[in-house]
Amino acid sequence: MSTEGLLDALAADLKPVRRRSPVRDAMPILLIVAIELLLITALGGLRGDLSGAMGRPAFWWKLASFGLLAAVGARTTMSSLHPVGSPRRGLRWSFLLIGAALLVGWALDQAGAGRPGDLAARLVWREGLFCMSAITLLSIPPIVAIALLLRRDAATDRGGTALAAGITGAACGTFLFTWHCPHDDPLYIVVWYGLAAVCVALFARLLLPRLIRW
Amino acid sequence: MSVFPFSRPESGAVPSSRAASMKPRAEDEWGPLMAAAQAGHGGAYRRLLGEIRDWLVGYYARRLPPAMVEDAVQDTLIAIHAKRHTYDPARPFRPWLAAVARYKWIDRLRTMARDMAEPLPEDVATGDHESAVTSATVLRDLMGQLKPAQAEVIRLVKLEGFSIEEASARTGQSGSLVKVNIHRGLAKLAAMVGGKDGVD
Repeated sequence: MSTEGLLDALAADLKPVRRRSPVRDAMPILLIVAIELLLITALGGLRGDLSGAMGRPAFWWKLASFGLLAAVGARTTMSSLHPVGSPRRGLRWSFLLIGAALLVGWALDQAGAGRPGDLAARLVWREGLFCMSAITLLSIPPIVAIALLLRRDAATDRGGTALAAGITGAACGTFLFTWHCPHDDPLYIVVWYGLAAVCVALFARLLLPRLIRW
Repeated sequence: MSVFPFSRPESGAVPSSRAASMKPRAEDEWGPLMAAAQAGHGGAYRRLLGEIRDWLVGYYARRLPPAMVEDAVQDTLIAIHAKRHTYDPARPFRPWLAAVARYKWIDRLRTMARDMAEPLPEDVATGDHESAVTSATVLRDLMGQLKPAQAEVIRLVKLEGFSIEEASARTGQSGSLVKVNIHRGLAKLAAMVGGKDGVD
């Protein structure tokens, strides 16, 4: 087809479109996280010692770290869904936030928030593997929602955007799991939650760019 | 400018001291035309596409072999049509257009570099510039960053039209090594272009 013919065909095919809105784009993700949290609550999945845990700094460190990372990741992803947007600055903020969270976790550990015992007693690998699996499962719905957004919109830095999406999904999964998991040992959190988040983020980074090519 | 730390600064702003002396350019009307097109105004859209087409022809003529320009222009126009909902009329149109054009250009470079992985028979003539990667103007700036062996064979085969055998004879590299160096050099060029801003 000649270019002139193509122009005529495109103009003839024109339909009104609704402009993308970052706030509207973020709503499905918020909704999914809220639904997952409601399901955890409804199925009796909240940690049994929640009221006691809320009196401990380590619980708030977990919640705030993953909640903030999810918010920063989502903001980064939303801002890179149009051709002029870039996730690079937001990704730098995400990594800074992760570094800050690790520092705070280390400080809490030094202050005695860790579980007594040797490494094996602190890491409890059987429970750790369960935590990894649960976090991965909880991360899937937010990542699927983000992937659908990515396919509809026009990210030009597919690798960076995919990584931001992975960080967002992983942070959502860990944030949700925080409400269930009774472990507050910073070493346990960094190892098992961290491993789960890294796996989810890397998987998204590898898979999503192929799916969102336009 | 947004207060969030992630937003990029507005581009395309004109210093106020110059604004009064500049006559309006056709490109300044593209934003309102696209806004009208988003609302379904076919006439505005057809006019916009025609003017964008001319801009895209100039853009790709500086970056691709002549035989690939029309294909790239059509590909980009289709992408603009499919993703027009991502344009924000509160922002300048040209950076949006340039970003789409650049994205499709890099995607095309990557596809071409990937396609070169297919083995060619030794007797296939490669003086065909239709498979060359980019125009010499942009390439020469980037090729200085390649390994000398890669840059040399890309220059001989893609810019000066020598065959693989002739490039092999001139450089002392085997025919297979010439092909490998061309493939790797093109892939690295695509990666470098992908990491650059404002290649326009």
